[in-house]
Amino acid sequence: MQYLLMIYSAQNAGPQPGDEDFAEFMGEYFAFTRETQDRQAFVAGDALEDVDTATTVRVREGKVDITDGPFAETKEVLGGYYLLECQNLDEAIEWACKIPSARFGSVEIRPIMTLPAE
Amino acid sequence: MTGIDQTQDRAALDRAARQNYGKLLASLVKFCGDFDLAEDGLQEAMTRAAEKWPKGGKPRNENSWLITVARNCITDHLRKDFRSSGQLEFDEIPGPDNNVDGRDDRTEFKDERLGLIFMCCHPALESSMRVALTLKSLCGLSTRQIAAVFLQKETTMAQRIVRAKRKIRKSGISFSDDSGAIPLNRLDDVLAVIYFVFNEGYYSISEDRLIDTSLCEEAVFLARMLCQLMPLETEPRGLLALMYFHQARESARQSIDGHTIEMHSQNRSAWDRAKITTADRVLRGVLMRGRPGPYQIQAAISALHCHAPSFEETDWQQIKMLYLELLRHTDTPVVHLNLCVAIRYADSPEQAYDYLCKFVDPDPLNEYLPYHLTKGRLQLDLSDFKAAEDSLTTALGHCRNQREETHIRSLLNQPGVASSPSEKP
Repeated sequence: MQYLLMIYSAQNAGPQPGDEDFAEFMGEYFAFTRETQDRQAFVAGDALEDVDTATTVRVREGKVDITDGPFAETKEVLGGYYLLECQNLDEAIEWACKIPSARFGSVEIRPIMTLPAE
Repeated sequence: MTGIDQTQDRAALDRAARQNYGKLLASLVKFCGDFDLAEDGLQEAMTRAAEKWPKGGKPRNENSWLITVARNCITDHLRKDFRSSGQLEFDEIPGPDNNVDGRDDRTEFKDERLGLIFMCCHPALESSMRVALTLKSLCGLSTRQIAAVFLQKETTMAQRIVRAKRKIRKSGISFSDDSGAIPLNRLDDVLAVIYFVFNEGYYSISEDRLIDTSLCEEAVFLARMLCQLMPLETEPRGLLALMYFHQARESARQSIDGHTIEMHSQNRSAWDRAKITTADRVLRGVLMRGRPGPYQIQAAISALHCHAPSFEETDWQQIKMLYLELLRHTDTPVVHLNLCVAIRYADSPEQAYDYLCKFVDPDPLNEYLPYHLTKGRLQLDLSDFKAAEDSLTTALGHCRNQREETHIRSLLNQPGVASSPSEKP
């Protein structure tokens, strides 16, 4: 079986870039990634850019509704994901509109963070 | 060099900087793909120009000079970044530009402002930020001026702009260039931003707002720019004509003591005939292309008002038809409300009130002053003074400035309504 492990935290919780314990914290992440790789559990894993970069797409009665920010409907729960390679946000939005659940739910688009070389 | 010459050079710099600011910035954003980097580079180039030009004389092509120096600053910055972080591929860094003194006039740069405005008006940005970024980058307004538009503190606005630019950079909102990548389906978003800027200038000229620039003029400037850069599109011309028609009536809208004068009591001889002629020319030219859209229809409605000899002699039937046509393009509660007003004069107050009750959805208009005002006026027409008082009192709660408030109080003080005490909170 494959499992999706979703990481949630408050925006400013934990060590932040610039804090003295940040490097150590990132070290823990690198170690964890390595361990999952060594034991052949790793399929994919990425950090996301922060929530300020989110865009939410909904399609209602054939009309596309694009909003700045993350999805906010508390009744909606995460139901699946796609990781897509796109040229820019417009292309990502184009794909998002085609996801069938966008007609009644929401699709939140978040860019994958590009980390500097280890 | 005399003091006068120096002043002239400074004035020339202002002109080069402000009038061309958008062009220069657009070219630089295209060059490096980053808003902040482009702004910093341009700022640096302008600072150097302010130092150099008064002493050594202006270069023959000011823009080329500024662009070249700015590009070099950006390249320097990227190289430093590359050395310190190792994040960038060296290949991505644009090569140096040797035309440092701008002697080579052939380095004419292309007008890339279309790409920039589509970037600033991207629907994934919060709508007020689309306006802020457009005013800042295309019109060269300062953060202080933009903060005044939104009645916010300058520091707050500065922070919000930083966040919006960060979203552009991080989320992959890319610079659209005209090599087929201009997303035409987003033209409506761009036009909406321009019309918003115009309306902010047109309807909120209030003593409690300190704006030292005309937002209406900025909007006209942006619309003309779009017309020039998108000659095949019809709606930018429709919007331009619409704004000209509005501007033609501007001076008649305000009494000497600062009250709003509604269209039916405006002095029509004060309307700007030359402006109306210009608007007519733009509208006629674009209607001939046979691709009507919401802005062209609104401009046509405005044209009928401008050409009516009096309020009573306005062609209300035609206006009603045009609103019905507008509904086919944009079915919004506000259009229904305007149609309701047209019915009031084309047919009767009874029919208009009937339409208001049946077809104008009150929920989305609850915070919208014209809704309560229109409702109150219709109730006055029907001599339902008690209901009118309620509607007008609600309207009073949504006034944004003194002028609107004075106007509504005058309606509340009319005979009939005034039977009840007029000292409302």
